[in-house]
Amino acid sequence: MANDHEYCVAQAWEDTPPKLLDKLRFHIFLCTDGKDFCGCEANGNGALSGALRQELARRRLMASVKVNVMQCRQPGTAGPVFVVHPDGVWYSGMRAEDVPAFIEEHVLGGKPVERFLLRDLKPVTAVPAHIAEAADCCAEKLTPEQQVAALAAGR
Amino acid sequence: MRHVFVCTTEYGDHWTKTIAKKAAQVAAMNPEDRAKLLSGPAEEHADGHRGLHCGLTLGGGIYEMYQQRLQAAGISDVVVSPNACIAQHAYGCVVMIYPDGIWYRIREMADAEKVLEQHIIGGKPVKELIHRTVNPPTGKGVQAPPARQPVAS
Repeated sequence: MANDHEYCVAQAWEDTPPKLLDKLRFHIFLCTDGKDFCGCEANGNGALSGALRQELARRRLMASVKVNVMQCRQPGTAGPVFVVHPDGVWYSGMRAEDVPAFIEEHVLGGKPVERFLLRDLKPVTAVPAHIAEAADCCAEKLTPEQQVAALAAGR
Repeated sequence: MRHVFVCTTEYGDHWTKTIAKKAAQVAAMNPEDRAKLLSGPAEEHADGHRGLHCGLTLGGGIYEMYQQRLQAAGISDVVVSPNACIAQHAYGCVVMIYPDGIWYRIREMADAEKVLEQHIIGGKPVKELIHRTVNPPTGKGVQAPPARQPVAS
């Protein structure tokens, strides 16, 4: 194969008619913040993401529900955060075992699951400086030389 | 409240070896070349796959720029999130705005600024940059597909 990312080559996509989103009803964004300033990583977002995708696939809902990942930037919230668009419903604290209930009630039933709603959504556009420092997430900026060295060491 | 997603592979979990290799190349450039790469349109340095460009050239810059500009303008009812791959690599960086359900394709920094000023702050979609539109919310759930017939053995 000429390159590892053959599916990214522009031509292939440009020729494809935009049918991708025809049936889309919900676009879910899960927080997968590896930097640990929100509680999502510590509270099992991996398990939630796996369960969600698995359950959607099992019920054959993948065409109408799209799952992608983001960073929630909601410091101080408990549990994995995810947001269901275009309705803009924020959830927090859902576990893998609650996924069937979520799909029954929200995805199929159309009503948000009250007990998991994220109440105190912080409309911030940036990580506050003191949290960034405490979590030591955004302060860490490698120089290009250090990045190259780190990548070379990892290979 | 608007929720803006900016494609930034560097924040995602899609760090394949290819991307890492490309990242090393970009990181090793001298500052002038890198600045040129960051400000240029996506097609110029395409070399086969443009998929790398959201994270490595534009995405992170757009995300930082949006944060700074929104803070400077004192706008607090917009949430900006970095998101990982949505498999639209061929079009360069994609900026998604919900609940309006509009995906923009961003080729250069000027496009990103236009989207910020006209749509995120002004509330008017920028027609010429629209990549996809998402179905508006219906208020109802999804119709479950019919159960699969068991295969006769």
